Amino acid sequence: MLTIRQTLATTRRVLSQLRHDPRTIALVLVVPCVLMTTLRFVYQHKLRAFDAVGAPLLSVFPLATMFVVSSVALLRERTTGTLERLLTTPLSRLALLGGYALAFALLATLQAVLVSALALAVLGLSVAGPTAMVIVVCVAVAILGMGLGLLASAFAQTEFQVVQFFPAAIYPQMLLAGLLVPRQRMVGVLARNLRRDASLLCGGRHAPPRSPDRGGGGTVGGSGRGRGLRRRLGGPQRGDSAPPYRLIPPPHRLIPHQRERFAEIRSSGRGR
Amino acid sequence: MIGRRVDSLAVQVELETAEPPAVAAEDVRVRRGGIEALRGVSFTLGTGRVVGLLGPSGCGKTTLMRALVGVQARVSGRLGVLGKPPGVPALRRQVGYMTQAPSVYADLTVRQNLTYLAAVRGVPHAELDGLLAKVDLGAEAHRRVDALSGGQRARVSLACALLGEPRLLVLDEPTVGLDPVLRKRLWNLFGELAAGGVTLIVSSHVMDEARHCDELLLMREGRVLAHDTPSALAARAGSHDLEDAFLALIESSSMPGASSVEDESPRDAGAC
Repeated sequence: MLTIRQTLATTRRVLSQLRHDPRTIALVLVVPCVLMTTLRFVYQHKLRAFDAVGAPLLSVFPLATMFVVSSVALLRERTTGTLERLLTTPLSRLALLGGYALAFALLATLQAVLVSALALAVLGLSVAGPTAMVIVVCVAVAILGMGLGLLASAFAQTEFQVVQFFPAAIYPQMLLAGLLVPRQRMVGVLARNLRRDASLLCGGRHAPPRSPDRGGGGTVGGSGRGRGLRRRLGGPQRGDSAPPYRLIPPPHRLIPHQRERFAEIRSSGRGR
Repeated sequence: MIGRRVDSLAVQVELETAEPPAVAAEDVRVRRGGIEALRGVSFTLGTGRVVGLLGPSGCGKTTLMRALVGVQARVSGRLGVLGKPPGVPALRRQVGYMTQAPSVYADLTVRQNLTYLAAVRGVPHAELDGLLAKVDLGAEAHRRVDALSGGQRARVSLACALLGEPRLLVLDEPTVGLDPVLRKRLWNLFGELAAGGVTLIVSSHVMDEARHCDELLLMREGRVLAHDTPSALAARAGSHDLEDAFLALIESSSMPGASSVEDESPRDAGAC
């Protein structure tokens, strides 16, 4: 009970600190919108590519933002001595971290709702999964970013140092999350080990396999958009006998006819 | 408060053996960055006293205070605070700690700072107004801390330490940067708290303030050089002036061959 009250008090405190910092709020909320709009114009003549890149990118924003915001916030708490003081109070560490998580999750939700609304309603982005999932994934990714930020802040003495952790903590997530290459197509060791954590970044693209008898398999079912997206992603097409979104084993594990089949899929994907 | 001074500390401590001493230290050592910041410190402090912790910069005052509130790593030896090991959860409501640099959130108002810590410590908010008046910040309650002067910030930090009526107050240079009027008021406040049974450990660089204390712990290079009442210390050094007495004690300790402390002339009054 006390822990819950302490958690909420911490959340309230972190949020009031943010409220007193309109510049940070503007950066967190406005920059992703500007970037998303820029991306839309970059792909002006390749709107399908915008679909493929835009959706996963939606979840990169909260990851990066929350990493920076939370790592610097906790580091500031350390360098100003407020953390030292808090450790001498009855505040539990769980309540402190929980309070931070809740506050940043709220900020991330606001960011996700804003950017997703812009991308989906104004910029015409189409996503295979339900729209609500985009928000859920963004919030989950924000919490991952916050966790990485808090971890990095433990190894840094100054704000200068903690920002140096950004490439080390965030770039691997971008490389391995299926942003560049769908995770199913990565070599075995990457696909296997990162299936659990990094796939958070991929949004609806790596939804758990569904059995074909549950109708269509893909989250958007029979809509043309969903099919298009699945085709681009190299997944099996509607009407295929194989269940959609089945994880593809590494090349050396494929039996010959599978190897042919995936080569076909790959070449058709590349052709687009 | 000056009237409450006792001539013999040993007598005072013996009278209070019924309850555990506020602090009991026995051969306390702390290693920090490869050097020993505390090199075997032993002393006992009775409750309801204002204890001045004095000594040149870098002599281990802050390390000792951190050890007392349980945030210092690698503490060896025996250290008891109110009869318990420092930093245990049961103590956290009973110990108030003010760090050397004001450990308050600069981007919150005075009141928001106190409200948060009150929630964390489980103190009713009704107490806040009285507390603000005690540290003379009633008029600044709704100003942001980063808009306050250094002395005002220090008082916000002090108010945070006073929250919840702790039985032991560990104050690291609480009167630095304050004008003489305020300093006097705070020392009166400390005296009132001690009269109410609170033990205060106050570090200071200002020798003038030593006379407000019931007893003094003079430290040098990680050791306790002297532990006595101000008048006894002055008498021991053969001087009426406390500052001279300290310098004499420090210099006699650094020169084991020196036969007479009176020969030593004050060299650097600002050093301690």
